[in-house]
Amino acid sequence: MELLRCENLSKVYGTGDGKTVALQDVSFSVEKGEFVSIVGASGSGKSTLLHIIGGVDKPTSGKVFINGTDIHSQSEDKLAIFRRRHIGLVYQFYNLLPELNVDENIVLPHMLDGRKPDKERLDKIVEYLGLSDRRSHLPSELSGGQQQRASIGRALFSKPELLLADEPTGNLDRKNSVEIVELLKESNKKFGQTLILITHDENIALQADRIIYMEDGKIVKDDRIKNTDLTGRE
Amino acid sequence: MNPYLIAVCVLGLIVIALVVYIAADKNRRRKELDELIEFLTKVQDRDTFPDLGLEAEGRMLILRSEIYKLASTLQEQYAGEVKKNTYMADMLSNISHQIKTPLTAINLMTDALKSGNMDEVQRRRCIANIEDQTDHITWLVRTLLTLAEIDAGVLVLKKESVQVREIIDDIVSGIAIEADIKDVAVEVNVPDENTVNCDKRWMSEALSNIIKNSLQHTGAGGTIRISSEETNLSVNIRIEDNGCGISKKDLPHIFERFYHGEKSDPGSNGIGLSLSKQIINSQNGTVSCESEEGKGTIFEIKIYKSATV
Amino acid sequence: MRNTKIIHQVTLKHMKMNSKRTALSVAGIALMVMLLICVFVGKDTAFRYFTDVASARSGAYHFAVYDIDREKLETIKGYSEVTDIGITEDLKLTDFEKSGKPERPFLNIRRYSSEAFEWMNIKVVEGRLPENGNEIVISEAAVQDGSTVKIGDKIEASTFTRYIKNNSEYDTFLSFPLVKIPAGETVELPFNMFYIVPESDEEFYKEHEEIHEPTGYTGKYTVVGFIESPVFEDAGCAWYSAISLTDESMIQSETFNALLMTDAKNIDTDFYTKLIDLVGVSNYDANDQVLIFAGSSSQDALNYIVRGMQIFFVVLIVLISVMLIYNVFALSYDERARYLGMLSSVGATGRQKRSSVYFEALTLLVPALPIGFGLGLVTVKIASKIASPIAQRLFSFSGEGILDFEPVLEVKLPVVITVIVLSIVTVFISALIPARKISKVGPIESIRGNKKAKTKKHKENRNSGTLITRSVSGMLSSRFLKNDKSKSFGIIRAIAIFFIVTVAVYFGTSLINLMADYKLRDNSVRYAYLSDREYCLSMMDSGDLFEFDDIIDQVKEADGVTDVAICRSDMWPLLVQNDTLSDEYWDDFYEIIKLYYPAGEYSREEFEKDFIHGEYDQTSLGVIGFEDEVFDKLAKDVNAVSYGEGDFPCIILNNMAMSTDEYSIYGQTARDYRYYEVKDAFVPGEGDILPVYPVALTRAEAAERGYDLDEIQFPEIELDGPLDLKVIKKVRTDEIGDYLNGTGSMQLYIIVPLSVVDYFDKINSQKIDTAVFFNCDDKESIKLLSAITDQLQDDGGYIYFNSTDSHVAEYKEIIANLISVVLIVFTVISSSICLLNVYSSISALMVSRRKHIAMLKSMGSTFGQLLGTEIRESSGMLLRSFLIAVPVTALICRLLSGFMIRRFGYFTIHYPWVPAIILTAFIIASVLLMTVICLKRENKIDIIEEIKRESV
Repeated sequence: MELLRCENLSKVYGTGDGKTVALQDVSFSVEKGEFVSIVGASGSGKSTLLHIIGGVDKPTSGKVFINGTDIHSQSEDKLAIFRRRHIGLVYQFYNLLPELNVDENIVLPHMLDGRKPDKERLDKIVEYLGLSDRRSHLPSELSGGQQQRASIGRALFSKPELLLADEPTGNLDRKNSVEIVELLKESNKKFGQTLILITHDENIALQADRIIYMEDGKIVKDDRIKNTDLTGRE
Repeated sequence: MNPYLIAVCVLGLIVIALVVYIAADKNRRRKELDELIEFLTKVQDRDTFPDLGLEAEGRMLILRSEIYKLASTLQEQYAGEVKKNTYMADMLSNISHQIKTPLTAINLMTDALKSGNMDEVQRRRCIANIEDQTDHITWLVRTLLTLAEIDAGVLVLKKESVQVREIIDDIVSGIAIEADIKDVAVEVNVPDENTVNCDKRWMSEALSNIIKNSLQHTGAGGTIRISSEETNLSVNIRIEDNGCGISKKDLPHIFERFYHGEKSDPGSNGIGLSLSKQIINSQNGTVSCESEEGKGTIFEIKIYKSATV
Repeated sequence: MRNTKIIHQVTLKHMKMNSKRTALSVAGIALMVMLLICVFVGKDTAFRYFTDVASARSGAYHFAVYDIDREKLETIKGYSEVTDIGITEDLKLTDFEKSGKPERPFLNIRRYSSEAFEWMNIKVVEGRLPENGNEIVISEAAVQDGSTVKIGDKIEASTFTRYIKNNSEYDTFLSFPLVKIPAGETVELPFNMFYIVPESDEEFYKEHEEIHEPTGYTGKYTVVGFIESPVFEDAGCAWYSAISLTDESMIQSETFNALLMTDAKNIDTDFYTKLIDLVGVSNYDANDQVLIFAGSSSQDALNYIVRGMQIFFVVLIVLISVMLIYNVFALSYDERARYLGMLSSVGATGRQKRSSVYFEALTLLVPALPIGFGLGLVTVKIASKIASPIAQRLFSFSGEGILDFEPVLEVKLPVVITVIVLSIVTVFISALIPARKISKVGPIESIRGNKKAKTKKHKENRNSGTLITRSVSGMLSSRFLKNDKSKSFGIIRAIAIFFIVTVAVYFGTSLINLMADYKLRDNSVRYAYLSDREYCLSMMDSGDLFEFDDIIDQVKEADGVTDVAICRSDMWPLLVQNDTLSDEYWDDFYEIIKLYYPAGEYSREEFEKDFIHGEYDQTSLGVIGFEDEVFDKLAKDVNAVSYGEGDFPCIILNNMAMSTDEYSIYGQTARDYRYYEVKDAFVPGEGDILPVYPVALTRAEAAERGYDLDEIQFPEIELDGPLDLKVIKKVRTDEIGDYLNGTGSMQLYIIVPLSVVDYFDKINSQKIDTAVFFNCDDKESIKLLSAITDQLQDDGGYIYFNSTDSHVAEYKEIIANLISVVLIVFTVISSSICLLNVYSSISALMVSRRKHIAMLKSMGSTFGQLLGTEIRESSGMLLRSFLIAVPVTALICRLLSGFMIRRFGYFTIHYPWVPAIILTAFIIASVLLMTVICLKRENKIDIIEEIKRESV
């Protein structure tokens, strides 16, 4: 089932001489449950693409369909609500609100929806992430790896269908990087969250089902490296 | 003007406003519910899975969003089931094909024996052949049954804390002789503390298939290195060999059932690795494989520690 | 230091980047400078203006002495207070053949010294001023009236005094001015007397003749110029002015006049006494109108108030500015820390970092000073232009219109220097603490961007999970509030200051207003119901000079006069026995008097002997008289006891209040301040008899005391014993507000009808003062009446004519009005500055929240939710600020009022509840509005930019 479809996305900054083309006519689609990694050099437009998919940036032209909805045709508020429920975002830094502790950061999207978070579920997720003894700590009191784990926890708690990660391990050491990618893969395999991950690291990229290579704002290669198991459970 | 009259008028206005408001609210609720019902109806109709539509604040829409997630998951599962059924049909035909071959051989043998034209040596050879084939069929059936049980979710997997070392040592001692014959060294580097929560017997089976596979593909003078480590999240077991490796073409498919690689043993059936993977997967683990032709193969088995969420 | 240059350049660059904030700061400082200028230059300009106007009306001199001789002149010269002397001589009249108007056939020859020319505002319209005793200038009125005299003509003068002889059998009365010529007598005419042209009025000269008595003075003069008609020259008099030059050596006559300029600040009452003793009270005139503004110390109350106001304003301005500027630096701290931290890592010292702050302070100051100066001067100029005609309108009225005067900006050098120094000091004081803070910044802070990173120890349960049960905006807002202490403190501080400053300034200014009112205005009891009359002519007993009734008739008969009402009042026409006054009165009185003696040294018995039973066993009683019909109405309005023919009804005014301010014993000051309101000063109640005694001796008493009976004026009716008045009611002025207004004082008063006042006149040796209130729309009548008044005044009469707006022409009243206006404007401006401060703090907070907003938006928060969060945060801050502000304000108000009472005396203090509540509502509304506006602005920012932007 198709979860995401991008049609002819373009993003241009500035006008005239100062014009920069970040994305040029990008089109692709992603099935539900896929793990896609996007690689490319700096300035290849991968972050821009991710942000447009995530709804935090608007394309100059082109459409993005998630769950069949053209997300950029909505008003800003509606898009925000959509993002809240269906998209999880993990960045390289500053994912967490510095004033809230780990627990509160994790349940934030849920609370934005006005829902009371299920305490048991929160407990389970915190334990799963290995943050049980850090729950009431502020982000400034956590290590980089712990912060990213909390961000992923946030992405898990509200069960968005689409998880977008922009170099989530860029700021971490190797051990932490590995753990983070494992967590993301878990979410992808176990909970069926569609994962699109941007990375520099080829090791990480190869763990995906599919690698998309980008250069100068265009997709240059789209490799499927793993087949979904015939039993549907790979 | 009479103050009472004024008060009554004001009160009346307030009441009217309240009534209008409540009516409008109820109406809105009803409309939302209607939309939701329509949505649900569409969802049930397999052929036209609806779009999510625009989001907004409000309990109804949260509900709709959650229903959508549920529905799409179910949709996926259904598609998966369909695929599985297709797959099962394929597998049945495969199985019958697999069994047909040795059965045919057995038939031939028995016919030959019945005819009585053979000498003692020939007869003995025939009987040995028949034995081999029946063994093979037995193994095949047993393995397929296991797979079926696992597929159906019927297989009971015990959970106990098992020392990795123990399992590995058992397997290694089992293949020691063969390794020796083939002149392949087996190095074991497994810390004693590493333990996993699993079914000992089936885990052994899974690991042993993998190790045997490595052994098959490693030539003389080669080494098989078995190591493990424990992290926060999992226990990782690594089985490394410097054998002939697996080609890039085959690599994505090695865990598929009945897949024959180019370099595989004609005797192998392509199920061993598949079984291992299945067993490991159902014990909260993953198995992956890296390989380079001519250089070697690395199998990485990860058993995750935490409970399923 | 060359190496600080880079720091200054970077600072400058950042200032340019935040051009809006920089501009706002410059504006704030400029505003402060402007206000300081207004306070100082405004005061100087105002005083200068009043002095100019006063000089224009009555001359620039401080004192005038008449009929002195050379000996007295020498004595005066010897006075240290006298800085300059101008001589004037009035040589009386001579014939003016070239006159163009038969009614004005004379020239009044005067001689002025050069100083006198200047001080009397003699202005040349053609030609020049005389340079010696043979030259003369003539009033241009002569030319305007058709005279053929021109420059170069020679005048031969032989001066005389004018007399008229009455050869008829009846007394002759002339008016314009009022002159009575008894039958058969010859009377000297006043200097501004008109001339009856023989050809026009032959009747007159049948029984009268005008006699010219030569003075013996002759002189020859050449006309060298024409001047504006001097102030003392009336259009209706018989002559034109002709003034020549004189000086001390050229003095012709035995006696002459002199104008004195003095070192006004050193004048005290001794000088007045000295001068009066020397020349006699009738030959002395103090130009009060000019003296007031020259800083004479006899005008203590005014000086004190003005000085006090200046200090109050300056302190206020400086405080507010310090607050504003400190906030500006505090807000830019984060940014500065970033680039200074970086510079620190390449070796910038603490001093160099501090210099960044001081450099910014200086750069802000440099443009702000001239802007503020310019604005301030412009404001003062405009304000004075607008205010000056209004001020003049409130001046005493003597028949002249409003002088067309441009107020001149008085900018004194010491003032300019003071303002510059104050501004510099203020800015640098505000910069002190931020400079110190910034010098401590290190490279870590700049890179991490989080100065509190690892230094805080984690406290368990500080941020427990209970907040999750609240709504998301509640959770976010309380977290934000708790964790961003410095920024939220800044806002809380700004709001609290706004509240405190506005209320305190409002309260302080209302107190000053009250004090000015109290001290400067005449708060004595006066007629309320006559306030709609435009003019008032008041008279006191002037012996034989004129009769009240004559003047009243004059008024009534003048053209255009309407709504005439007569009131008579006096403070001391009657006496009452001390035992008529209540115990309460004496008790309070005792408490007051006690304070003039060391504690415990003045016993009640002594007091009773001195004040109650001893030699002085009577107290003076004031009288207020209303016309009979009005009195009857008043009596009915207050439900007074009825009275009839033969009764002497009186209403007792029970508005007594005594304080140590009002009563003073010569040479001694009270130990402490006391104020008492006497609720009921009189023993007799409604329906009782109040015995009163006249202030006069009967023949019998005089004889008893051995006085020469011829020397004494005896009353028409000599009473033997008291006059019994019938008390028909006891009231307070607030109960009869339609008739009288004013607050209490030490003077006792009764209200009686005019018929009773007439009777008092008869039993007294002096008549009770009379005031005539009326409306008039005929300018000529006004001129006439004021001319009459002036002439009678010159003759020694006590008669005053003025418009009721100014009630006895107090310049102090004008000041009091102006003070109110200034105070209001000031309150508004200082509050505006504080409000600006609040806005910039909130704005800065929102800017610092950009990242959070970006993050929340990327997680799916709608604008409405962000708004909810921020509004809750603002509400939290509002609450905290009020918790601080209200007690502090209350304390300040208490202190201010306490201070006021100590210094100035007791009066009802109204704590500003209502304004405070209104202000609270305003603050809440504006803070919330600002939050919404700033958030809307931040909402437009690009989420991506913020997320991508890293700390350095």
